[in-house]
Amino acid sequence: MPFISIKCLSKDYGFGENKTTALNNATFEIDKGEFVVILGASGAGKSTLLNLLGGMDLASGGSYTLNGTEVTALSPKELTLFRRNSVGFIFQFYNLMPNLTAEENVALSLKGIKDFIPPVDALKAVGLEHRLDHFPSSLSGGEQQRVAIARAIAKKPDLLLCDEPTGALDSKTGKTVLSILKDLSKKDGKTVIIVTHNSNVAQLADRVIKMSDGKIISDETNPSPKDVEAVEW
Amino acid sequence: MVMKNVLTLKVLREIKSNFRQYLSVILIAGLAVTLFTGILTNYENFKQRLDEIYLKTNTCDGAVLLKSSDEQVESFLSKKATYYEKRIFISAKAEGKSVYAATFNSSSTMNIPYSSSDVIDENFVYIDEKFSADTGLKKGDTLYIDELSVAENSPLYGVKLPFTVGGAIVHPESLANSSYSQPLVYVGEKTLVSVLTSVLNQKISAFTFSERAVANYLKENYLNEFLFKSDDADILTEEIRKEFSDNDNFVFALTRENLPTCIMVEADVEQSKNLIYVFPVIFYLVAILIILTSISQLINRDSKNIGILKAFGYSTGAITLHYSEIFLALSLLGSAIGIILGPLIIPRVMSAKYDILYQLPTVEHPFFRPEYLVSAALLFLISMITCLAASVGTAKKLPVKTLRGENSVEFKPSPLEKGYIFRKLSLSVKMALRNMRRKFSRTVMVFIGTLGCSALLLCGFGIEDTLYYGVNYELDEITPYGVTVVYTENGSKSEIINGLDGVENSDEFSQLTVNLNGGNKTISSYVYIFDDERRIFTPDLDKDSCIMSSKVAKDLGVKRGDEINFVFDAKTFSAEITEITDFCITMGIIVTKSKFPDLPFSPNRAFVGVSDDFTNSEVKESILSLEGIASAKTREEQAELLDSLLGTIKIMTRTIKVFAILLAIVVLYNLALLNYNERIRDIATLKVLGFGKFEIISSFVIEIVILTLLGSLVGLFFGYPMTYAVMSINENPLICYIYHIYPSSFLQTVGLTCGSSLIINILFGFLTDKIKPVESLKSVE
Repeated sequence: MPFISIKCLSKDYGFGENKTTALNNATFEIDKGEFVVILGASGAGKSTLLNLLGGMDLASGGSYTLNGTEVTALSPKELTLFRRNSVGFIFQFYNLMPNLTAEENVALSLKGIKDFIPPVDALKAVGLEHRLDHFPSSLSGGEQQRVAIARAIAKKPDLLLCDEPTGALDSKTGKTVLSILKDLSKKDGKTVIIVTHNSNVAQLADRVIKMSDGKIISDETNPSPKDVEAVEW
Repeated sequence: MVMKNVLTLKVLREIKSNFRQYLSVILIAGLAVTLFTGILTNYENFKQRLDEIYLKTNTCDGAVLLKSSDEQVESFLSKKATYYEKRIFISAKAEGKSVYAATFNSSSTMNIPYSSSDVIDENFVYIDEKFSADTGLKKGDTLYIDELSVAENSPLYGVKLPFTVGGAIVHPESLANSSYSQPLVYVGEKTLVSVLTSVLNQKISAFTFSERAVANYLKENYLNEFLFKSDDADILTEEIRKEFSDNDNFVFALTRENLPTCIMVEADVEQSKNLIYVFPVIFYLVAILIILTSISQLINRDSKNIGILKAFGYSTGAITLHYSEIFLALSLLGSAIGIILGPLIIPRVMSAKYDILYQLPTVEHPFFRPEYLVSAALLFLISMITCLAASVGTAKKLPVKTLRGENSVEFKPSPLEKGYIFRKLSLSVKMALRNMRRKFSRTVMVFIGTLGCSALLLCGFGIEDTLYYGVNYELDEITPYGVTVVYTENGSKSEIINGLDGVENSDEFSQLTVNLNGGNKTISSYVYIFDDERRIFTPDLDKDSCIMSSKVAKDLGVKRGDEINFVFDAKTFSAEITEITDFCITMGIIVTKSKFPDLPFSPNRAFVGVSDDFTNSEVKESILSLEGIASAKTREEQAELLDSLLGTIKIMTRTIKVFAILLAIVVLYNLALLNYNERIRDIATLKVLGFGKFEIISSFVIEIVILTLLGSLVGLFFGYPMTYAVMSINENPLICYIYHIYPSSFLQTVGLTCGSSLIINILFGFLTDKIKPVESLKSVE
């Protein structure tokens, strides 16, 4: 049984003549521990798919099952718990709480979680043990993104969703971040989905799903995923 | 497209897209101008109605009261006054009530009645409409005037004069409807001479008085009041006082505003004028706060755009003006609303009360007054200065600095955060505390805003508490009677009253109306003379005591140990003030009969205590069935009467409370909206992290609750001074305010301020449903 199963998933906005289909009958499956890149240009429907995978929006049709749970059948309240317990998010602009230190930002995501990695350990895992008491404003972009990763992994989620995680970073820092994400997939067995418009990132992936105009136009397995260092930026 | 038009378009789009944010600016501008124009219009209308009376009745500019006719005064007035008239003005009783009797003749032109359905004929007496309604006397009935306040050796002493009523009038000296005000009896000289001649001939049978002889006698001895017109009544009055204060015949010289017959209505006009400067000022200050908050928020949010405009070569002035335009447009819109609503709403509410209190004519008021534009211009100016002050700093910065944005400013932990307590706090509380430090200017604004609301609200409660405390203190502690009684004639009735069922005890006393002298001033007041033994009146009084009420002491400018004097029955009485006490209703001096042995103790009033088995109303009915009783009021009726007397102030109290809550809502709404807008990204992040709605609401309610609690608590310290300031400019000649605020009012103030804040923020919390996490988080740039 696949870890993620998407069947004819679609999302429409508006009604009647103003109706826009942002996601059109997407169907694919992802196994546990896979490192997947969803690739597409702006307006391809990547963010819509990410919203639905993360339980942040309700689908207009189709079904989405994660680890045996039919997410499309969950109520808004159940979706909140789903986001809390099952999904870790990493954003392009980090979205750390400016009033909390690095350690507190990680701790923030652990509310109500029983089995978690202590914040200090999570920050150690991303090489930030020396920045525990620093506020986001005193961290570099790469460091902020690593705090965001630590925040995402500390609650031991089933799925890591990354929205343009290197979009705001220089190539060196971007590689560091991607390296961490790939290790999470390969060493810890986390399922990692990266949404990006950057085709270079796709070279690291086990699978590459390409999107255009709300449709999945290809779903290919990468026979020889490259190492992070080998990728040209 | 011209550059200026592009910026104007930006202004319009900014207002459209953030209308909720700017709604508070329109509301506060509207409220401030509504209050200013409304209160101003109320004052102008009220004054216009009074001026109409003064104009149509040719009311005097001032009056000089003498014990008898005085040629020196007349000669002085003939040189100094523009015009003057003489008349008899005398305190007396009619139908058991104290009245002013003033004479007129066919040549009288000053202080004539305002309206009368009949031709004024000097063969009759005329009574004011209120007195007519109270007594049921109408045209053709007989009115008896007695207890004329004249010397004991006067042939008029003790006479009872029957007059035929010619009709009911509205007179400038009898405008107040309150039962406290003395009614006016307008007596034709012809009928006075005729009645007096008849009565004197009956009383003194040894002589036969002719009407001519009586008329001459009156002119020589009793033409004792001069009404005068003058270009500067204040100066002339002062000159008369200086010239004749040593004259034994002189009683007082007063301008129209200070005459006992006009003082109430004039005080209310003055109060309505003072209101113009109290509340609008508060609301203009709050308007500054709201505009400052809103523009600071806009500048912070738009700092990168400011950098872009600077990079494009826009000057600091052009950028400042651009952001100011938004608020100038909003304040103009609010002003326009205020100019329409203020004059429509507030004068209508207030004039309804004035109509109950006074007999005033209805006059046409102008639809528009130039002062309305002044209020709008003032708000415009305030907005402009506030906007310039708030935006010029950012607009002056180098483009590179503003382009970096607010988040580039490094946030360092406070040394306090190393403490044990801080480390033990929950993340939500830590976030709230740090946010308060990080957004310090907003924190200060929330604090000041809630402080102001709390102070204003407590002021509203404080005024009401002060009014009721004074009345209740007097009725429960000083004079804890069940029924208060006024006799028709002087003389003890205690034996009869004490013999009634339900009467537990009683205190009889004389209440004399005198002109009290002291501290170089003379005011009309009372002397209360009690028996040496008292059962109901509680203050300590012995034979040497002379207690003065604090209000009279203040009006006279005297203190404990000073000497005061008054004239009664052509004798002068002097006493040293032994105590000054806060009385709410009792005005004047209080002595026992042993203090002034020469002053006849002939009670004309009584306080009656009621036993528990009877109600006050039952005892009152029993007392009223006795002969010689003019009126009787239960404690409850007296409280109700005072309640109506305080009508204007109570309206003001309610207005303050309503506006304080409106103000709190506008201020807190504005600040909550700022908080919400600033934290959209934080809220979106919390949603993504799986936080539920109530967890998210609590995360930012904590901050606002801490601030509103602090603000409202500190605001309590300002509530009392504000109450004092408002009350002191709204003094009532008949009541002394004993400042007091009950603990429950403090609690209600904090509860209402924090409650309003909590509700508004919780409502905003529900808006978090509309935040789409991914869109909100992606749209950072």
